[in-house]
Amino acid sequence: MRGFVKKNVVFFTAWAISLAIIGIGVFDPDLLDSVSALLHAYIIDNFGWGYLLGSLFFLVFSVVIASSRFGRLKLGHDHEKPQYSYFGWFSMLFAAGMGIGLIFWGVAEPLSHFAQPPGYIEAQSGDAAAFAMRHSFFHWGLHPWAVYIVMSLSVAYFSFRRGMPPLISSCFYPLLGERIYGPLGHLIDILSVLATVFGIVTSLGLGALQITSGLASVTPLPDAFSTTLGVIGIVTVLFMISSMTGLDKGIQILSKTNILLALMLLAFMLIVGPTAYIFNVLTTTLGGYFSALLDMSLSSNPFQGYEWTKSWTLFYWAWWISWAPFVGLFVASISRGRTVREFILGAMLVPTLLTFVWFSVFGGAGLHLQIEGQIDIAGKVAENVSVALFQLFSFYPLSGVLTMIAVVLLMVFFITSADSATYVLAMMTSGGALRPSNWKKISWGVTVSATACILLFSGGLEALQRMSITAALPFTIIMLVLCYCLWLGMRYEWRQPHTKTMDLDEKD
Amino acid sequence: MLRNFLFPVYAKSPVNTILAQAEFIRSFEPEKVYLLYVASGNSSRQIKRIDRIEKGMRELGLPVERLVRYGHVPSQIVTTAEATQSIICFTKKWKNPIKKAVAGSVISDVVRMSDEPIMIYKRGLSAHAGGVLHSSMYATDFKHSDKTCIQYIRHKAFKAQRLILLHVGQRAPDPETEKKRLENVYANLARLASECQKGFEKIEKREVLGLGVERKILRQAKKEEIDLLVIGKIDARGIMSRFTGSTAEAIYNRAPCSVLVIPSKR
Repeated sequence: MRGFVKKNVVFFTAWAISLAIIGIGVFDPDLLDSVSALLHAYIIDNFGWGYLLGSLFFLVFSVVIASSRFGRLKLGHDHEKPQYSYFGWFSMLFAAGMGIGLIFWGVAEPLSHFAQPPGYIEAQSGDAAAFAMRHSFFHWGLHPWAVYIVMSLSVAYFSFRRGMPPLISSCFYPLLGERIYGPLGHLIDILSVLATVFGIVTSLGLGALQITSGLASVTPLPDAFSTTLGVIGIVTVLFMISSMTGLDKGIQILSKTNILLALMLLAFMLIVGPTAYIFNVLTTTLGGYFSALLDMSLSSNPFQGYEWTKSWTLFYWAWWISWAPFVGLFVASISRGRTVREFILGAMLVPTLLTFVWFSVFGGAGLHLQIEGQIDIAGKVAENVSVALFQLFSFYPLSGVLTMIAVVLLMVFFITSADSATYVLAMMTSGGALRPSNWKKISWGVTVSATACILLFSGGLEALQRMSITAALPFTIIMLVLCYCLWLGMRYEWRQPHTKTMDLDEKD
Repeated sequence: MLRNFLFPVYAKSPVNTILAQAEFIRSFEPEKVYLLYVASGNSSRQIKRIDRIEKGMRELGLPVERLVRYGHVPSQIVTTAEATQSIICFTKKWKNPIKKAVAGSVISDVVRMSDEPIMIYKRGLSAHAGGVLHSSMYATDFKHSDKTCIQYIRHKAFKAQRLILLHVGQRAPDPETEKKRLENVYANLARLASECQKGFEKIEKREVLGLGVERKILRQAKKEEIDLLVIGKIDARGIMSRFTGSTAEAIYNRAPCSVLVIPSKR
């Protein structure tokens, strides 16, 4: 019994802490709300600049590693081939990293920036539209992927090439040595589990709200808590089934289906929407994005517009960082056999390009309606962000079908996110086992879903989201050290070529 | 090897410490001791200083020859050392870091530029003159410098009761490779120990792990109360190293003991 507890110390500790914090959210949501608001405000106010610098550093670091001699190293044996095809890999990358968020914000974000830009830009002007598109690209472009890449590359390198368990604590071996197996290593893994649990609970809760809104607009179902509860219930059953079938079947098949659905929706909107306008938006914004990349990366606007930066850019950066342990571990687990260069360029450029096209199509169509069509879609979005996409569809043919496709897309993205999060949580709490036991997957799946339901009811969901973002501060530091450890590991290997890889098969 | 010694004398060179170092040098039975004065003008005080040093060295029975050069001090020291195939002998003197950063340091420049060995002497080493040093330490990276350094360490004048062979290493990226690395390190230390066996009563092998090689070496030197620290020097290659300087450059100034820097070509 003692051995069992010792072996599962990360699982039990993380589970107990999660339940304690969630318990506060259930029984005293006001307390969680005030504490999380205080912490969140303090961190964003005082360390927001650190997020900006950190994210830019991760981007530069990724580019430097990809273009350096280390780019030739393989994440696995030298002779190893990638486990998944490019299509399967990109689908899973995209589904885990962005998927649901893009559906949620694809229309809403450009329109929100257009209607409420920072103080130095006139609202609803041409400048505001250009700013809105540029910053939507910025928030969902290279930086978030660089954050994910740093985490996933480290985990993939130390686990697949150096034969260590796929845990975040493993990446600290060059610095901590055997201490990664002690309390310090456990602390890093527990923090990763907590950030993942809080992130996935809030994502599940907010996503369920959007699915409910979509369903309510095309079916007689009411936009009420009972519907949301039903949605979470169905999603939970589905993602648990998918999770049990493992990476190779469930998640991969769902992700591929989803990408195909998303591409179909994208193509449809591109054809029936203002095609030339969308391409103009894409090319103009691409130009604006790349020429203003450094400026945007470092601008916190302390003189005017700091509040806007706080609520958007800094929020996003903290969110991506807090989301990094989950996405990082998941992306690592599907990237075995790729070279470092292929991994970085693939994970950075392909999803970013798809994101840019997505924003140009949906955001561009929304702006076209607002500016050219004289329809106040931005006003409606401001009232309820989660209905932005459905509002847009209502102005196009086959809106009911489009909405249904979007709801299915949301649900499947939802399932893939929850599915991969459950897999990652079980993996992190099983000492990095690539095939974690089903009871751990079930434990985390039920915990996450039940918590989302309870917090939706009690109103503690946003507080939990803030708690998750709070975890981004220690994670920024952890990730900076991670970069150093990765560099140390790769440099060591380069200097001692005879120690390149060990017999990894025995360990798997 | 270890036949000729060059003592640069320039502004504020401490006469007594130079003479103490000369006393230590006596145990090497040198063929020639060069007293180099790089003049930047007529300075009667400097001339008097050199006279005193020369007189003191002659009293110690050293074969002194005085040289006068003009120009950039570090360059002249390096050029003369190369021409005379001498070990450059400096005396260690604390210098205000701000003053050092602004005005520069002759020793720093010479350590960076020279391809000849440099001995930076700290008072107290001469107490062992004629006898045996208490303890020496050789910090090795098992690279190019070992072959050259071992020749110096084995010289009878550097004989010590105890020699510590120190390797500061970086932990390998995973436990299995780390195990192999440690085996490799101890095999190399054992090889060096067997090569140095003759001159020392006791040879200890140390492996220290961590980043900040300079800091680790200095900490060991202080902890073990080392009299003489021997380090090899290879020209800095990377961009960062060119800014921060080699390990030898970082160590000589902060070492709690005398330092022998031995440059070696790649």
